[in-house]
Amino acid sequence: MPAQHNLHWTSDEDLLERYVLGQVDVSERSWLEAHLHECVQCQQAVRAEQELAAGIREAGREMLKARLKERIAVQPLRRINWYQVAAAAATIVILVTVGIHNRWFFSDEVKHEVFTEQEQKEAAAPADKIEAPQEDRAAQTQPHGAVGEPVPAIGGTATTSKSEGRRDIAEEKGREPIPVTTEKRFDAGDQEPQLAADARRKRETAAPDRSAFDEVETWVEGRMISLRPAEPAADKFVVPQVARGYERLQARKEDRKLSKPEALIQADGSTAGIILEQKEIGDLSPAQQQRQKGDAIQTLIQRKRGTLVMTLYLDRPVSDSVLQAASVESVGADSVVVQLGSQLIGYKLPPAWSEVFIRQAKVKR
Amino acid sequence: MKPSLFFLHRDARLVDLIRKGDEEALAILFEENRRPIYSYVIRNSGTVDDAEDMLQESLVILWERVRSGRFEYAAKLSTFIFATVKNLWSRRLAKRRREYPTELDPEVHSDGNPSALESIIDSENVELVRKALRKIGEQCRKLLTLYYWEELSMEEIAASLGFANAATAKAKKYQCKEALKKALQQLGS
Repeated sequence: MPAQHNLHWTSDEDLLERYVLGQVDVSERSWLEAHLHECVQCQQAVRAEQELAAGIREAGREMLKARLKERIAVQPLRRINWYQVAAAAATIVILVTVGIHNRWFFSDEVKHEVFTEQEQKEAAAPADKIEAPQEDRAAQTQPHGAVGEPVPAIGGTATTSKSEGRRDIAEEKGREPIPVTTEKRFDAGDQEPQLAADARRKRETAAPDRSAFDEVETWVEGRMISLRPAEPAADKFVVPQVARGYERLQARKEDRKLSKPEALIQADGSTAGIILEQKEIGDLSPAQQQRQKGDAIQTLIQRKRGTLVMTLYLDRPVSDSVLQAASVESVGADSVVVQLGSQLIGYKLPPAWSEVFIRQAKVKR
Repeated sequence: MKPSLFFLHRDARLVDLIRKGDEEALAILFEENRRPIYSYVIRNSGTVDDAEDMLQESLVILWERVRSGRFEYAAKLSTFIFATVKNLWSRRLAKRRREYPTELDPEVHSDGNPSALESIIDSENVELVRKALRKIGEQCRKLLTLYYWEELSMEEIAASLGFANAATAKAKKYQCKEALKKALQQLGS
């Protein structure tokens, strides 16, 4: 009896639900609605079902919002304080100026490496080239922008050996001569290179109180170093645990894992205080992405529960195995080099951070 | 212009997470879109609370669309979220104008007529349903939400809530609906 059925179609619970949820096809809908116009009882039933569905949907939305709110610690939007921005810009300018003045971007250890390379080249070169005029020689000994900072020309005469040349520079500066060595790292137990020791002394006298340093994160820019791959050294400490994969989602999950203290235990049972992670450049803000030019590598350093986490934003993420074999090495008093496979990435650290870094680096010892 | 594959690929992963019911994807999208959305709403006569509400609302809409299979890639997720917030905020402003007529925000255009859905949602009975929902069991609340809001099939609901099969889930849905109606009657009387 179609007519009877039509009059009471709303008593079919499934049909009523499907109609309200918009799950009936066009032809079915047209005959259902044709009868709705004539059936007050059906209109009431549909209205009641619509209110039920609307109420449940609203409740569902509210529940989801509440859960979302729990997940995110909503921070109030901070308005830009232009005085702070100006102060920060001024600080950066001062730091850069001081940095250039002291030629500290990369420490003397790296310069030694450049010297060594140059030495080898010149040892293989004909004698007449070595005996070049002083001006030419100075030009020849310029490092080829290896670490993004120019190293000044070597002084001394054309016939002066490299070690003598360095000694001359040191004497000009009123410093002790640097021992000639191809070893570019130093152990905690060994005597520190003179410049590093100088820098440390300078820091100890000039740096603010460590306890006052409460910065939890900072951005630094790494530079690819086109030197030959570093050899393992006694003071190199292997990063024990790294984020697997490079996707942000993965990284977020790994963050939780990495924050566990046991993640810092190395295979040999010792501990290291620095964790290395990698993320995609796409995870950077647009402004930071624009800064990612050439060989610069934007890197976020964070202090998390007594651990330093370095997050490298890479154009082409490296494999898990390369990341796991990565190492972080202190070079001089305020720079570190990260070795990722055959790539070396150098960082000049902000003063307060370099102290924390060196301290963390020594955790393993 | 076609959106870049890189972003689409990443968005696809987030959409996939939502499809599987992982709310972490919403948290990620919230963080990523917070700044532009807050900036837009605050610039357009809103407050931080309004901005937060709009962003949550847009994410809820995204969630609904994806979960019910009505979401289609037309742009990046951030574009979808921003466009949704713009619409929602225009409607909110228009509604405020109706309630508190002033000369503010002349740029917002609206026909001024609430949609059929809005008229239903505004009704007192809907509020009663929400109250009644709090009076029934947690499992029933979840089941009815999955069915009416997320529009999952009985098979999906059975899998999600651990019922033996779709028939069991359907029987349970009937019981839950009866319980809800009973709670509604009690509240109404």
